[in-house]
Amino acid sequence: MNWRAIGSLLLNIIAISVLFFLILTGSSTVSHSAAIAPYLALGFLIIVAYLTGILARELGFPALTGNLLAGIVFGPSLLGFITKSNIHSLEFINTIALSFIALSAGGELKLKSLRENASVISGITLSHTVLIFGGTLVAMVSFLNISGIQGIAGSRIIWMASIVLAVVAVAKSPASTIAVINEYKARGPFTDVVLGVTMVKDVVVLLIFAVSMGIIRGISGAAPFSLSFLFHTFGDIFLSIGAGLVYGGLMILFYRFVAREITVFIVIAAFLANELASFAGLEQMLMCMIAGFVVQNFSRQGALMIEGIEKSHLPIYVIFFSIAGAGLDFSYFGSVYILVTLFVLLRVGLIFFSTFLGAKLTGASPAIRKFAWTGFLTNAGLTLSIAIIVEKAFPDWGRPLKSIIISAIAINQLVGPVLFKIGLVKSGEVRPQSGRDR
Amino acid sequence: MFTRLFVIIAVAVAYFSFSAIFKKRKISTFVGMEYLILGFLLSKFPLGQGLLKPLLYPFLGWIGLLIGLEVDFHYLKELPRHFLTKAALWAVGLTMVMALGLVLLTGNPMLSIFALALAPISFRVTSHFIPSRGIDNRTVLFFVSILPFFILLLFAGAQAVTLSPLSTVYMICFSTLFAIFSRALLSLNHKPEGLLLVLIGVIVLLSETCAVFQISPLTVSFFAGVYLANTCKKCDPIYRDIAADEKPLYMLFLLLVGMLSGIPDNPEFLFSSLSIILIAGLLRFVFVKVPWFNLKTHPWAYFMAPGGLSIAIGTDIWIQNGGTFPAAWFSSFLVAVMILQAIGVMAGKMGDDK
Repeated sequence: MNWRAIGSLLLNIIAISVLFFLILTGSSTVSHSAAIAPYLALGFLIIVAYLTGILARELGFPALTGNLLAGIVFGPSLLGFITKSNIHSLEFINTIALSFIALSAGGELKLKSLRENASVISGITLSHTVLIFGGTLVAMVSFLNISGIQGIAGSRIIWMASIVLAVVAVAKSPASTIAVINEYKARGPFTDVVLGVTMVKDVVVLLIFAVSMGIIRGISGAAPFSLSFLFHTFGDIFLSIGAGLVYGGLMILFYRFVAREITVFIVIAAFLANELASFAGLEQMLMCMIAGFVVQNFSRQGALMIEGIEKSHLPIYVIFFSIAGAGLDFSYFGSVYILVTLFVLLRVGLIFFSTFLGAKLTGASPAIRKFAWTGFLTNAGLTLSIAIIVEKAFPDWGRPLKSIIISAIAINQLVGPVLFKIGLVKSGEVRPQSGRDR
Repeated sequence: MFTRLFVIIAVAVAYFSFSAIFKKRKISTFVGMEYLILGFLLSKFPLGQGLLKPLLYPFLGWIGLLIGLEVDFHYLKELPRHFLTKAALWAVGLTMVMALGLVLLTGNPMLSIFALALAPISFRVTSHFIPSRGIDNRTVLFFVSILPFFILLLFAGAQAVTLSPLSTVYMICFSTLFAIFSRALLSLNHKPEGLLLVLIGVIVLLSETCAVFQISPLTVSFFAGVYLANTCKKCDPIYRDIAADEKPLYMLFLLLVGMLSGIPDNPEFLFSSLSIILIAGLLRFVFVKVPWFNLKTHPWAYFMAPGGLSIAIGTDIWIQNGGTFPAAWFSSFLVAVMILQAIGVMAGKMGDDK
């Protein structure tokens, strides 16, 4: 550990924080347009998140943990330098970043390696879906019946809330996984399996959620159980896959006939994909992952796309994870900490067990059996969307449930990347680096 | 939502096709102004223009820093005195005469606010037509390249005189603070992409701070850049990095400027555009023909294009004084710069072909 570098980084972080505090204090004395505040916060966040990212690397953690921590410390939960309204205004950057990360995820997946690891990937995905969902459902129904959380009472509500928590337990964050893989430039079967499961699970979670919502609506009596919700989700998924195939094809055409300014192109492509997906009501992550996958595996231009991604990923990750960190809300944690702790620990245990079982049954290598679970802990965007949808549909019990889910996301986001980095190192597909390599 | 999708597609297609077309036509130096035109066209769509305005500040900060980073006092000290005198006199002389001309022709003293913004000569256009071989050519190119330094100094001086003393204090404080702070940040060990990210952060923070305190981001970041260029050993790679990303940034800047200013369709706009073109074109022509500046040996058209700095200064003036004069004036100024740029490139090319 380079203590001099750590000291110098800390000094710079303190200096920029003091400077920003002075600017904020001074800005309250002059009249200015409210539209400026989010960009002012963004400038500060870029510098401070980047510095904490290097600091995290110096201390042996992934940079994204540093980025997230910067967001948490300077966000509304702690120091309040970045306000909730700033985060709300900057969210558009995150949706674009998400498209970029999904393109990158698809681009990292090679068909050859998927074929080689198909049984392991499907084994782990199946085992996750069944064991994590089932295990969480049973445990949460039992716990909520015994303990009783304010707002989640009565047998029907407990069942409905437990179903949602079970879906959340299965879900994971592809963005964090890709970020750690890109940061450490990990390559090999272990990485391929984690990526493959991540990609497949994204689709599986959407389906489970659709089925679960149908069941919950049936239980609540809001609507009789109907398959239409499920068909609608299936339709969305197929359309998103189709759109991803077409979008990937168009990207190939660009790489083939234009092939200039590939860094600018990949950013524009992510921006455009985000707009297209919102316009057509498609699954943005799925569409982009498929597009990236198509370019990588059905053209000779995959390397060109990866080159563009590697050149521009640092600013995107720093901004994305720092804003995500600032958006993490710990204010509810105090009131639901027992349930959140139990839920997080239960999820870790189930992920570990189901990954081990799925890997063992399909004859995966010892590294995958022992360490692949570390790659499935993080959860963020998709999980948050689930919480928001449930809150909107069932505000009475959806609101307290959302606070539980948000607190769990916060813990998983902080612990997950660190454990995944350890998993990657232990699997031998990455060498430990110093912060200076960043 | 459809409008936004349409705009993104239009910008993407324009970005990748314009430069190819201009390259084929061998008028690559016109590159930039076409984005301004595209911006004018897109200004007709409702895109939440008010929310986009704060995005202009970082671009101005970036341009100011880029020019500041080019100012190396060692080179300036070694230069023959007459170079500096000529550049200073061009900046001061042309600005004053231009201001007077605009007032006399339009009878509107406020329009002269753009006079200084019409003084720069585009180095990109000039260097496209004049080869760097030969002492005479190099002298001319050198004159054009140091001109921005004097123009920005004059711009800072003009602000110190016209703005409130508190704004001047803010300008000095923020220039100093950010210069020292950036220097400390850049002295950490970074990989190139890390260095660029720090710089992006500094530029955004500095520029938006300027927006809050209503001071010029162009001037403040220019001084920060000058300080960095002369105290920080890592400035060369920084310069290389930000210069390498010049094209997309310029494109976005010009697009935004065009989108935010728009093109009004009233007679006042037409009259002020024509007045600026006439005065600026005529006076630049006269100044080029003054033997003392040593520009006479080359066709006058080479020095007609005011370039990106001109638009940056004009935009800086507009965002600081936006509330005090009609937006149509800024549009007139932009159209004038665009036409002068086109004259410079087209006439220069014709002269070249002959």
